Amino acid sequence: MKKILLFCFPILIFNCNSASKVASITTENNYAKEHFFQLATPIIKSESILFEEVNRIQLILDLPKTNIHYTLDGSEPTSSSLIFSNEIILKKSNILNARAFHAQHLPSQIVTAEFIKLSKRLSIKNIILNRSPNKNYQGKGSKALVDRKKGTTNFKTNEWLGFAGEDLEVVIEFKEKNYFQKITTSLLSDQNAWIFLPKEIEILISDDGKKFTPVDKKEITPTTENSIAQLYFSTINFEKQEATFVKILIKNISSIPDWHAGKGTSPWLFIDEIIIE
Amino acid sequence: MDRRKFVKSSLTTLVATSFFQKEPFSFFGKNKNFKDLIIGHNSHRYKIDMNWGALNSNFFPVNDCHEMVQDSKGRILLLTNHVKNNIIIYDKSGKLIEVWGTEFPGAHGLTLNVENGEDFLYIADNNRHEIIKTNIHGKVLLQIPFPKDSKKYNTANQYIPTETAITPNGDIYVADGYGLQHILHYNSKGKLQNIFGGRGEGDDFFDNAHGICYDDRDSRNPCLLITARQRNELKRFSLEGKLLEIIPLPGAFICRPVIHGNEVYLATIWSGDGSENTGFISILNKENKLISAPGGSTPIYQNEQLNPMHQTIKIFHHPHDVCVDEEENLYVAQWNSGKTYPIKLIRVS
Repeated sequence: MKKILLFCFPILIFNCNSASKVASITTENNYAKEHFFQLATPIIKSESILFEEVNRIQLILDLPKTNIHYTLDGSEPTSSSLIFSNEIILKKSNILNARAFHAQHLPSQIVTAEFIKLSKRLSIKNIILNRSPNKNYQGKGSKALVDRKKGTTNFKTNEWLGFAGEDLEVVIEFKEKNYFQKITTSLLSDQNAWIFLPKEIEILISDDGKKFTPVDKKEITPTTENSIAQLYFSTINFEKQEATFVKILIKNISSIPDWHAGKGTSPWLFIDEIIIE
Repeated sequence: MDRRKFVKSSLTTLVATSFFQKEPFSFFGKNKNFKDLIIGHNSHRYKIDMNWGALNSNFFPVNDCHEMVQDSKGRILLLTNHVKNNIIIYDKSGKLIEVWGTEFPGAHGLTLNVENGEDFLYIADNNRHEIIKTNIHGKVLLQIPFPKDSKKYNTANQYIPTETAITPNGDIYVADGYGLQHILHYNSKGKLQNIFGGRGEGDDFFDNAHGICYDDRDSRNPCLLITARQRNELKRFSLEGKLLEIIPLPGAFICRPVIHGNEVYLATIWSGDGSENTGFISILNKENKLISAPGGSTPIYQNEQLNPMHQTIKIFHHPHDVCVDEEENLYVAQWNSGKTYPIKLIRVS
């Protein structure tokens, strides 16, 4: 009897298997259900991420019955956070986190943008890069790095300068000797496009453009695995300095982390703005 | 049924059920209370079958699923750039019928044309820089190499054809969508008749002339529909190569136009600012107005202008082509989606 049972087993499984497939087609069980798909990430619309007076921002995801919730204190938005209606008006620097919610879909990923209120700009004479951007990602050239216009999270737009592999050195020469105490570097992280944040940013100054003295440096926490393109600002505050030249040394990570499809190869570095205040 | 048999069969049911729940997407059916999701707008709404056409990738692998067509027998043909099986043929339920094709490393464009009652295929190959005409079994009948005599090209590498369109008299139009953006008009023997388009700033020119089709919805005035994907525009040209109309679809990076009935269906590979994984499907009516966007935002026209489109639900990654069957169900082939098989959309309204 045991033997018979053993023989019967696979046959019965097979029968059951094909029977249930037929059943699932006729009862439409193969169709994707509600509550399975994730909402797309809301679009943050604003003239610029950098502003001098006030900034008006819109959050967009045009799907009926979608609520977009947001925070301005860096915390994760939940369905009880502020709800977006017409526009958000910022009067100071803020980190905006937004996330879409819907009764039939999973909440979206969080979209983050840091809006920065700037002081008046310093007059710049010249910008020198130690290497040229990749020919496909030259943007509007090195001058775009100080035009106070921000790229979107789309690396293909011409605000962005893209560099493969090695470290990047940007030397900015002021028209005259200036005081400054804060340097913000604006970068992109887009793991789908193999664009990663650098490892470290170092600030050096000089009066003659030849001999540079280190002022400060900042390590950047590596991004964890995620699939969303994000803007990133690295701000370094230091004691007030006076100089004619400032060098921003951006040290790339040596290779793409192991969890990524491009592991071991050189990552891309995308930069669109350096703000000196 | 005696008791012993009953126990046995219910035991196997249990085993089979738990086995199925380990399969991808099987939990669609787990929560019986959840309704089937319906996507799309207005007259064109769909349920989604994510499992359609899924095969064992050890035996029938795909890279990018570039394009799909339906043949005269009602079968669904998929073109992939995997040289183990460039053409995969399914029935409408997604059951595998046959595969062929090992010589199309850059398989990109697939057009089916019925000539004297027989189905023929036109494959645009990016890597081979040529068009290949085959019969339905894959026998090569004609090769149209890069158009050296046109004097527009110095080397074959500049010519990267993405799509073909065939007119009733057998003339072949080729869109050089990844090359120099020309539209090449050949006769049925592959002799060059005319060349227009090309890369440039003005309206007559293209930026990623990715897809082309023959549009005879107005039977007295047949024309060509050609996508300018990077510009988010669909352009209407006469068969002689004269620009007739530009149909702007802001935010929609449209791949190739497919005519079925009075509608134009276009896989939309990216949306919004063109970020990765933001695709959806665009459906235009007879007047070439966007009426439904499964996976995308609600199409709204203000002062005759379409509001910029964007993805709203993450169903599609990078839709590259849509095939429409006679029941008006859609089959969506995707580029760079993690080697997934097509998605079927079942029309419910």
